[in-house]
Amino acid sequence: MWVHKRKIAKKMLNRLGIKNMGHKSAIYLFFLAPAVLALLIVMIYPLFFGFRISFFEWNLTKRLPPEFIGFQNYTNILQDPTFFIAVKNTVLFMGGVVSIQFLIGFGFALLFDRNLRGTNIVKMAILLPMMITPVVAGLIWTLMYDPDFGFIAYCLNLINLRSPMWLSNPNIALISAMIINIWQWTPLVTLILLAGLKAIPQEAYEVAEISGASRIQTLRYVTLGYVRPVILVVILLRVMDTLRVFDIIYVLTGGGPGLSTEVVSLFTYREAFGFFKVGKGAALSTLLLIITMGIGLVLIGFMYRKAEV
Amino acid sequence: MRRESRVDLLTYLILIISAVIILLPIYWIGLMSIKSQFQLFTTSPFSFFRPTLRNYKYFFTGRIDFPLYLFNTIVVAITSSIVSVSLGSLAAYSISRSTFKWRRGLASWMIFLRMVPPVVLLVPYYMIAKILGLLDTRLILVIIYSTFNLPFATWLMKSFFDEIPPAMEEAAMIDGCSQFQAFIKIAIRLAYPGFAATTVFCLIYSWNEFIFALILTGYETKTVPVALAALFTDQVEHWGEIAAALITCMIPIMLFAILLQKHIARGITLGAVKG
Repeated sequence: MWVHKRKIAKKMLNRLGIKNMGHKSAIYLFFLAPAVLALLIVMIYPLFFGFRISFFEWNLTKRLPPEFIGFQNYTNILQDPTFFIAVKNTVLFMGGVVSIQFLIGFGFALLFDRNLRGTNIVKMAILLPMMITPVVAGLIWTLMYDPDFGFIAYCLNLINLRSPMWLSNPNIALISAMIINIWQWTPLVTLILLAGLKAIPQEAYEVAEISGASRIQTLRYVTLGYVRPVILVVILLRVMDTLRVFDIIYVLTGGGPGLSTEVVSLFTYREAFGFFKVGKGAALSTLLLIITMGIGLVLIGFMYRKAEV
Repeated sequence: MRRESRVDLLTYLILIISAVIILLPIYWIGLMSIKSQFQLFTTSPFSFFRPTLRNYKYFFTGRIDFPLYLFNTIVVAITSSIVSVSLGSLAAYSISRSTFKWRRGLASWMIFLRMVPPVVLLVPYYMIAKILGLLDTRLILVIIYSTFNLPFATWLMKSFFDEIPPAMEEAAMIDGCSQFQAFIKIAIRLAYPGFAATTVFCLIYSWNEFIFALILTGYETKTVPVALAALFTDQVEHWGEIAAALITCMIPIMLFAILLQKHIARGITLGAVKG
């Protein structure tokens, strides 16, 4: 009888595409199950739930039940100039931060790659800003940016310069926020790029030297050639991270002055929990999800195509 | 040869100056946290002064409930890290060792999930938590943080398991162990540094998490980042105390970072280079 049951179990597993013998594979499924279940219940389901809410008008402060309004939340958002300002700010933030981080990070990585003694301590030291809570980083810099008592003001005063109004000048506020993110995460970019540089085989450099390549040519063809996939990974990572920026800006300026630092995540938060328009918040969330995933897919597609070359 | 050493000197110079500049804000805040109110505005960051611990004392015993918030954050961080690493290791072992056709798909799915911006889940989580009566509980935070850490924990542990040759487990099984025993005795024991690194990452994430804690916690279960953000809008004059608060929040993480910096550097670069 047990032999019979075993055969049925094997058939079932075979249908699922499991080629190996019964006992060995079953345990792998059991191992996977909790994690997959958790992800399905706690991440995937709420996404669909949010998607559903986005079709309703639902104000939590009023005692009215949610009202089905179809795509109206979405059309409202797409006609709201604030939304586009938020998108613009987010894109500016991302573009500025990622490009500067990449340039500085790559420069540092090249310097570290020379393997000078004692640079390990420096490497350890620059890990620190990465570890700090983003909220804490935002608060530290809020104090630093203070035009009267902040550290930056102090240093500028030493050379008789007035400190700009980092946080109250709408033209500079976004840049102030960008500086914080650059400060925190350039070390990460450096570390990853450095690992990529270290993975370049020594022979490649020797071949270049023998072929008589100049320093710039070596940099261009050997270094960049090998490091390209790592560069793409880093850019993907940072783009995804900067598109979701929230903590720093919430703590630094709360979106102000005016709308100069209003980013999409902040806008969503405000609609959903400032005005308690949960339906509109859900619609914004869905839009943000689509945009972020879209950009992510494009970048990943880029990565895979380049890898084949 | 001489040209090389000049470039070396330049490299040293740039790196050291950069490191100093990068660490200046931390140094400044640390300094502020041990200055008295008077010293704050009269001494410069570069001169000598008599340090005081008064700010820390006020911070821990004053009217703000910070010990509670610290407790909340620690409990949530440790619990969610344990859950993430446990579930993640199981899943990672499975992905690493098995030969299912849909292994790759699963791994891709996990990477996909990592790309979801947290904001997107704010509304659903709030509504679901409200319906389940889980607002202002530590449990909801543990659930969310564990799950959010799961893809990364799985990915990291998978890379550690990949480095252990399956031959070792097969040898153990030939000697009479069951599959599960081989997992426990061989894989877990050998991947021990992997557990440490993954746990550290999960702890750091849970400790630093802000946006979910912001909307899901209330009086009882506020975490440190949320409390700090709120603290700031009230007392802009007591910079010394704020600095003490910030340093206290930073210290546990920095300790972890220093103790395990080798693992951290390895964990960060692992996926990036190996793909």
